[in-house]
Amino acid sequence: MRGNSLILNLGRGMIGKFESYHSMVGLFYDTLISLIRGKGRSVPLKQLTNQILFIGVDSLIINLVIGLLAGIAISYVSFENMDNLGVSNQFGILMVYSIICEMAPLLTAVVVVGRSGSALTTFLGNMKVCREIDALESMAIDVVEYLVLPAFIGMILSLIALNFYFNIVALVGGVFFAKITKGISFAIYSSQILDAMVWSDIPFTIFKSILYGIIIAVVSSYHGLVVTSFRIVPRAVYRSVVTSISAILLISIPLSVVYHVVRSTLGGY
Amino acid sequence: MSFEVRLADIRCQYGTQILFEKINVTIPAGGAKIITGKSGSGKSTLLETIAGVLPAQSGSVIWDDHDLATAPRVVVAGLELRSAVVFQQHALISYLPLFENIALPLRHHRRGTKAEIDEKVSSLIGRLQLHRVAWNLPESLSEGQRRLGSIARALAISPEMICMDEPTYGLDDEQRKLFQPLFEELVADESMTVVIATDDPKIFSREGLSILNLNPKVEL
Repeated sequence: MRGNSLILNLGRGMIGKFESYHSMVGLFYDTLISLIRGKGRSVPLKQLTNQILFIGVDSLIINLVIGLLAGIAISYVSFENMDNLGVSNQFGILMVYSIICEMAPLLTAVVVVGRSGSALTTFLGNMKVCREIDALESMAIDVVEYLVLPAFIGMILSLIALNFYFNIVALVGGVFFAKITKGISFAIYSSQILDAMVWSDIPFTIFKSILYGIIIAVVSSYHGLVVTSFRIVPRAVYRSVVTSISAILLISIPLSVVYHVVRSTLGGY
Repeated sequence: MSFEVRLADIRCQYGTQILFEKINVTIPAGGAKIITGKSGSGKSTLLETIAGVLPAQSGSVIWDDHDLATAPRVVVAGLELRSAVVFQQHALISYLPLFENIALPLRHHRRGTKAEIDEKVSSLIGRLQLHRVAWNLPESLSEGQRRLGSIARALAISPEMICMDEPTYGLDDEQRKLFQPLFEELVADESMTVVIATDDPKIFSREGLSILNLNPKVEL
């Protein structure tokens, strides 16, 4: 009997998980339809501005600090090991691939999940418990259009911008660190980085930011909108953070493998 | 033009406890209904079912010949635009000042120019004597001010049906004096169907007013 109940509970848990993923896909679909139907005109501008300010502008400093530290760390590890291996001329490739293609979109997304994704879940969860969501619906205000869509667009635009700044700070910081500690010419390493880049690196890193932005916005909104009581809000927040980061990592790996193949055919290393 | 609301065989059960069953009521267009009963008797649940906020567990809620459970979404949205709800928990949007809360449905559905909306909201705020706190956030308002604010928000769209859950809860004597003539006006207004849930039926006692008592047994 005990074994049966264990299997039953596992089964119920799995069904519950699949139902929630199914609902998240449904929320993404509704958001997309809302965006297409309104052709962008239906996005409440004040809400969108607030979201961009909160997600993008308020996260800028912490994002820049992490970008600078990541650039310095990669630069340091590279110089310490590449010289010994006799491949120091590959510095540019390593910086481009590790920072532009991988770390910038990933670390930016992780910062935004922890800071803004969790805040979005709390915000929507509290609104749900205080019946503000019901009030909006009773006024025939579409909650997806009024609350989720501005967060969705704001999240994507902010991630693209934060990714851009992360890249600049990490690359410049890494090269300056090399100059200060090893005395190597700024011009040489800058040209190594520029030579190592292929045109597709920029759209690829932007594409990743868009994808991560969609994941964070949809997962965080979903977990906020299914809250039923104040007691559930903290649980919804950790679920939203864990689900977002897991989904981002799961998507990031196959995406990088595919891009590696594409990049090679485009004339990259 | 207000609309008729019909409840057909409405039933609500939580776990093993039946809150109410076999509710068959018609509220004529422009009519008023007061739902009374003790705390926990299901007044709010019934009111929210009538208002379309909660789906009926069984039975039908029919607004203007449209069953809310089966009517197309676009029809229900059209009916929602003609109705308003005052929630027990006031449910004012926490990040908007009171003025913007009241103006929200008007601005969102573009019911007039900015000047017209501002004028309408100002007149409601003046009538309910909320001008001193018009630009305060809901968190800094008293319970009574929040209640009056949510009533003003519901009235802003000039609804054809209004459902109010405990509209006098938290009002002080002076605020009750403000509410009383407003209530009389709403009930007398034949262009508006009014449904009120309350455990304080005295304030709503008025000759000819239809009362549904959920307490001992459902009145059919």
